[in-house]
Amino acid sequence: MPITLIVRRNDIPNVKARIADKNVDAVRDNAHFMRDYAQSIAPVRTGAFRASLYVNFQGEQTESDYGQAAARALQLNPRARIVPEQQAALLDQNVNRFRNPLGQFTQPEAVVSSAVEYALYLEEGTVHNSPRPTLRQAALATEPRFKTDMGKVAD
Amino acid sequence: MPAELARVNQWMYSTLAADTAISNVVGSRIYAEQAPQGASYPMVLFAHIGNIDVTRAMNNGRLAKVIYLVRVVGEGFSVSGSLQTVADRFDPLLLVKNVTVDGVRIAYVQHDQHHIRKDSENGIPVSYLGSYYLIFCQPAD
Repeated sequence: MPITLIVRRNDIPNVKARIADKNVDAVRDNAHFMRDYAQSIAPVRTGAFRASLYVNFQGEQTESDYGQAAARALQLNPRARIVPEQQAALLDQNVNRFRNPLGQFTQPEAVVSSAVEYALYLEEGTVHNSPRPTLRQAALATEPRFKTDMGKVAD
Repeated sequence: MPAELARVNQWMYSTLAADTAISNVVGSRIYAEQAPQGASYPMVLFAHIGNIDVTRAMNNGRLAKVIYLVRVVGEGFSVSGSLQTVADRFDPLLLVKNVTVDGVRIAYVQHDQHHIRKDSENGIPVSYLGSYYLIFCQPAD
């Protein structure tokens, strides 16, 4: 028996757009969660490292608190060396897709990092100083939450 | 319940220390977390960087994902030669499955990320070479 299928409405483009929006929201929200988590476990002496943690996300407009984080860190520890901001993938408005700094298409991404140079020595340690990791532990704590959120983007 | 991280440290130290290619270069200078004052180079440093339980089963069952940074450290800005020889041994020694250490089962180990760094310690140039490893462990049955 022949079956006839008539499509009266094509919602696939809308569904794709909704998934893309939720994807972007999940990346942004989890980046902020990770930064907040990192701040909650950051080792504190002057408070500069904790204050230096920032999020860079570049969707339709750049969202970054690098400037405030760097300024606050410098205020708390004037000897801290400030490092340049790490940039997340940029939304190419012409094709509505994200491009990494090399210009390649990529998924939405956010950067969670520190504006002070000595963050590296805290994170990895040195010969005579044990690591006091913050960002990797924060990433581990964020991972299951992010996976759960990404599992819901098509709901 | 055993303290898994202490057993992972124990396994890491004994595994690295038993390897002759490593001991030929660093002798007994293998340290957890940090080197004592006055320790000479080259040396192997390994450190716990973070962990999280990835599976929480019924009762007290669990599987933890633990990150370790394992590296050889030497004077100078070169990571070739003897430092490379030591770092080459990390993967063959550490990427294991089903190893039990004092009541803790190391289910498997994965390589996560390479590590290379050059900086200075009291004005002396120092190079680091190694990797991050993900160690999945749990209390043995």
